[in-house]
This record gives sequence, C-alpha cells and structure tokens, in this order.
Amino acid sequence: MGIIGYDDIVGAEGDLEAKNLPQSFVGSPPTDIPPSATGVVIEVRVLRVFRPDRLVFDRTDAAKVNVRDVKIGTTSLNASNNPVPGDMFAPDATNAMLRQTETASPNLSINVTIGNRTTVAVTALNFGFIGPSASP
Amino acid sequence: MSATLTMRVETPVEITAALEALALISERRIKAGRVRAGLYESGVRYRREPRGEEKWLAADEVLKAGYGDCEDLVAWRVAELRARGERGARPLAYQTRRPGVVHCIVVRANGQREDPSRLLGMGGVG
Repeated sequence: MGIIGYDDIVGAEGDLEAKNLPQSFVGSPPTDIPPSATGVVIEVRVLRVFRPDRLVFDRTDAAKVNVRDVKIGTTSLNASNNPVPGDMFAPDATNAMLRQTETASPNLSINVTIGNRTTVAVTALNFGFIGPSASP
Repeated sequence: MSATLTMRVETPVEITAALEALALISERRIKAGRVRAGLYESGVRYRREPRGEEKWLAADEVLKAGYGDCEDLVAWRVAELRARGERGARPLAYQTRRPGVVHCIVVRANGQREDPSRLLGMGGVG
C-alpha cells in the first residue's frame, strides 16, 4: 500500500472524503481600474495560511479585464510576459485551477496585476480566491 | 542513540497508529527546541516521494530536507498543535476510492479537517 499525494486521489473519480475537506475563500479589496490600464496591482491580504486553488471574477467584470499576473511572494503564475483575458477566470470557466501556487500567509500577500480591456473605467472590481486554509 | 525502524503497515488504521508515534517523536523534538518554526512558517513544501520509496520523517528531519510528503507534514502539524496546547489535534489516514492509495490529514480539536499537503504545494482539486 502506497501513500501518495492528492493528485492521485482527487480526479474525476476522486475521493469523496478528500473533496469534503473545507475550502475557504478570500476576497480582493474593491478597486477601480482606469480605462485601458495595463498594470494595476491589487494586494490581497490573508488573515491565515491560505493556498489559492481558483481565481474567480464576476461574470461581467471578467469580460472587461485581463490578468497580467498572480504572484505570491516572488513566485509568478504567468509563464509569459503577456496578459490573459479575465474570461479565463469567469465563474463558468473550465480548466481554471491554479495548481502551482505558493502558500499565502499574513506575512505573504497575493498580488494580482490587472488590466482594463475597455475604454471605460471598471469600478470597484472585486474578485475572489477559493482554496484550503488552516486556522492558526 | 538512534535506530532506523522498518515496519510494514497495511491499513489506514495501522498507518494512523504509526502517525501517532511519529507525531509524538516530533512533539518531543519541537519541545526540545530542535524545531522552532511552525510548519507553515518554516518554508517547507510538499514533495511526493519517488514511487516505491516511503521514508517517514520527524519534524526536524523534514525541516532539514526542506520538504516532506503527507505523513511527514501531518505528523509535524499535529505535533506543533499539541505542543501549543491543542491536545485534541490528531492525524488521520484514510483509504481513498483508488485501491491501495491512502492519504493523511489533520483533524483539529474542533473537528475541522486540515490538509497540510494541499496547503504546501500538493496539486489542487481536480
């Protein structure tokens, strides 16, 4: 009998008990994104250890913004210099899991760099992360 | 004095029992000052062992290696919580739906489940 990681046990036929592990969420501070902005950095602070599994935008906002980077500490999730459309992180997006994230903590924020794809300001942009956390 | 133990554990219950022993050893080493950082502040990350290899590491050994897999991280976390007074924290190994595959997590004193492996780098929910 081997003891193997989560990748092996949670898939299409994944384990019910593992899937029932608590997921937490973290919200961004509502932030205005000026028209045609290319790099507004939004710092998302966490109150306890948290590792994001998924980034989710409001459906309407997803169509207006792009994501240049998601960074925890110095680890960037963008493997290029180019932004990706916010639609990749719409509520109904598929294959939107973030699998290579570091662990955020009260001393290590999540920094998301956002652009505005439109010529109209996006007001009070608010997005969320879903993932496991641990109480202190 | 030191000893390397070889023991075959075959069921989740036996693995949980062995995890208790590893947590006890880790707790003693934490209390002796051999590990000063908490698991999540230590910089340690999850790393799966090569297939067929299964080394169980106490907290100080995980810290030295810089990584551990599920049973190593769970034993450290349980030891840390108990050393801080959360005596009801315990390890739990369970059989997954895939034959022969077991995973280990922490059950906190309030019943909440915590998966140090996922928090420290294991793949996300599929």
